[in-house]
Amino acid sequence: METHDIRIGSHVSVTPPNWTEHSRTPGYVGDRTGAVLDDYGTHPLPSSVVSGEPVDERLFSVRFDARDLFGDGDHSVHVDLYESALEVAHER
Amino acid sequence: MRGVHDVGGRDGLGPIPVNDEDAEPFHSDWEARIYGIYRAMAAKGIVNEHEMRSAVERIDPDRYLEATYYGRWVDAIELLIEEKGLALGDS
Repeated sequence: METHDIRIGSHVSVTPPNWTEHSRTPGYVGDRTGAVLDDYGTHPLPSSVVSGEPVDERLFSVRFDARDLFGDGDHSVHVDLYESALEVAHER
Repeated sequence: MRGVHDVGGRDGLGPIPVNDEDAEPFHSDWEARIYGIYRAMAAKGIVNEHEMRSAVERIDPDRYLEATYYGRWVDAIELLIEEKGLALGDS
C-alpha cells in the first residue's frame, strides 16, 4: 500500500470492510474511489481499541460522487476513513 | 463482506425522519435506564465508545434486525458484561 502518499487532493480507493472487525468503514464505499478533502491527523484505530492494543492512524475526510456510490444523484458524500482502509488510486 | 448492521446505502428501507421537533429522546423508561447504565460504565472507564459500537455489531443478526435501537444496547451491554467477566450469564 502506498499510504504514505495520501494527502489532501489524493485520489484514493477504499478496501471493503470486513464486518467482523469494528472498522467504522461503511460497506457502500468499498472498492469506490474518492478524493481526500481533509486530513484530521491521527486518531486511535477503532478495531485496535476494541482488541485492547490501541494504535494511532491517520484519519481523512474523503469526498465521493453520490453517483459513484449509489448510481445516481448530483451531490457529494463525505466519509471519514482511516489510512489502513485507503490506497492511492491510479488516475482515472 | 457486509454485516447486518451495515445498512448505509441500502434502498427500500423507507424515509428517515429528520428535524422532527416533537421527537422524544426515549420511548420508555427502560431506554433511558440503559442509556444511563452505559454512560455510568463509560464514565468509570469500564467500557468505551468503540467497544460499545463493536458489541452492537456483534449481537445475534436475527436479534439485531428485530430489536429497537436501545434494545440493541441492552444486548450489547449484556455481551460486554459477560466478556469482561463482570457478571455471569443466566444460561
